[in-house]
Amino acid sequence: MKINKAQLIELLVEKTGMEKQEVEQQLKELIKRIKDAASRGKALEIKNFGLFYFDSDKNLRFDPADSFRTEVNFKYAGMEPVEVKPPRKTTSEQEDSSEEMPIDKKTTESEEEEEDVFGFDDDDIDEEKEKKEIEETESDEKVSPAFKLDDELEPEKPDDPAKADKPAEEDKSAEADKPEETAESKRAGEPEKTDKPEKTGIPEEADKPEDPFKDLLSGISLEPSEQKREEEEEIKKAGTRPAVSVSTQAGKKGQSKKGPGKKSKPPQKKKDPIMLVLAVVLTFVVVMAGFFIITDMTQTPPQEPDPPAVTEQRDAVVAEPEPEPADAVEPDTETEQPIVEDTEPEPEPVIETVYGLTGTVVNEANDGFTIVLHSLRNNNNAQAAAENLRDQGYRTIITERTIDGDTVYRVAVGQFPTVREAQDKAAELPEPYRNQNFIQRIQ
Amino acid sequence: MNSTFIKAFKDVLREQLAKKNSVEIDGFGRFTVVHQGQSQKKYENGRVVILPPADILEFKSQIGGSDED
Repeated sequence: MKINKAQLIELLVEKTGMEKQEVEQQLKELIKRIKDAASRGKALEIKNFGLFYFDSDKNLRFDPADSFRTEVNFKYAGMEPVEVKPPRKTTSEQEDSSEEMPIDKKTTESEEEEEDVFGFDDDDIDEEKEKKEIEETESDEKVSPAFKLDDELEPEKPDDPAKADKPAEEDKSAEADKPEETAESKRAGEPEKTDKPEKTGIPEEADKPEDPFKDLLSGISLEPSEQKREEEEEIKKAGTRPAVSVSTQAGKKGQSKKGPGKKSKPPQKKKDPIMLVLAVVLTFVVVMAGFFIITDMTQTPPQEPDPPAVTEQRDAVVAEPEPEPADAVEPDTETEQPIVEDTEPEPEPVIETVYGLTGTVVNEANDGFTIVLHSLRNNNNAQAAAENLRDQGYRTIITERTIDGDTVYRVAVGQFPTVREAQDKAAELPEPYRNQNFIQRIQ
Repeated sequence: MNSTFIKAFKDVLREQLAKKNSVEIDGFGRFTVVHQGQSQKKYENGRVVILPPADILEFKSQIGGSDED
């Protein structure tokens, strides 16, 4: 059926009780305002109805408000796309996710976030561990990088205690031990040359090119490599006189050994700043991890209140969109403040308490939906049915509708902000009603 | 503009459109309800989704653009 302007005006006259001319005037004014606002590049919003605006082609467009949309689409409200075939695994799922229901998306996101929160800590610890491992492995391999680097180093200060750190001490002692052994073996009169190649061979096994600590270590490992070099040179020079070189080396070794021996303790206190920072960070992480574990163990009850909060949020999400849908509409043009005042202010903040299936009828909730259980032609019968339902504890509403010229009295229960909620509740009704009901707007 | 008029205007349009009637206002535009049958949507990644049927509200403008009179 088509309603033209004349019929519309008639209907409006009937509804408002105003004069026909006045209604025509008002309608004209409304259209003019919509045009004006739209031509100024603004959108005109009629609350709970929709939004008028000009699109980029200068065509007037109308975006119905969500509640209006739902009302028109009432028959199919609550139906959602059903996935028949999942996406192939190889392709990206981004476009799909945008199509998904927003509520589910939110929950999954929040779950992911939670996982991330905990995962982050784990990762941190892991990283820390890895760092530590790297540290350790590096400290084992320190001999080699120094070997490469010793060109840059000043040969004058082999025993620089300032640069010496913990791993360096190990190296020193390790290195120092070896030279001593060789020195001793030399003293014992054994041929040194066989020993030397072995020593020079050590760097090969450990020559890892990517050593981030090269610079730091270079100072440390300087002395053994220097010593080696010196030894080698001396040996080469000494040639036939190994005894001399041995003695000099032995002297040196003795010195160097005494040096690190004494100095190895003070450097421990000094330590390298990086090592210190690492140690602090490591202990901090361990303490934090411990703290989390302890709080987790002790606060198992507090953890449980969290999920309800999430569900509450979800409920809120479900409940909110319906009452204030006009706000959600965002046209590309600037939205002019709703010029048209709404004469029926809606009680958005008290939705949860106002709406419901049982109890007594709340007038503020009459802008919502209800579940019709009986539709009777006789008012008395309707009253009786309503009484019966009221006795069972339901919020019972009788609405009067004219269908094809006949007046029917619809006995309905509950007041709900959205069709969806009404449908959910309708599915929970006892048997005779569960399959014989329909949802309608209360007003 | 009268607020009772606005309210009545909204109510009348809602009622009429809920009954699937179309409402035409000369010199302004026409509100219609278009039924869209259930359909299948295939994504490039092989995902197939059945979209539910829907009654969609449409507004055809008689002002602005090519329709200007």
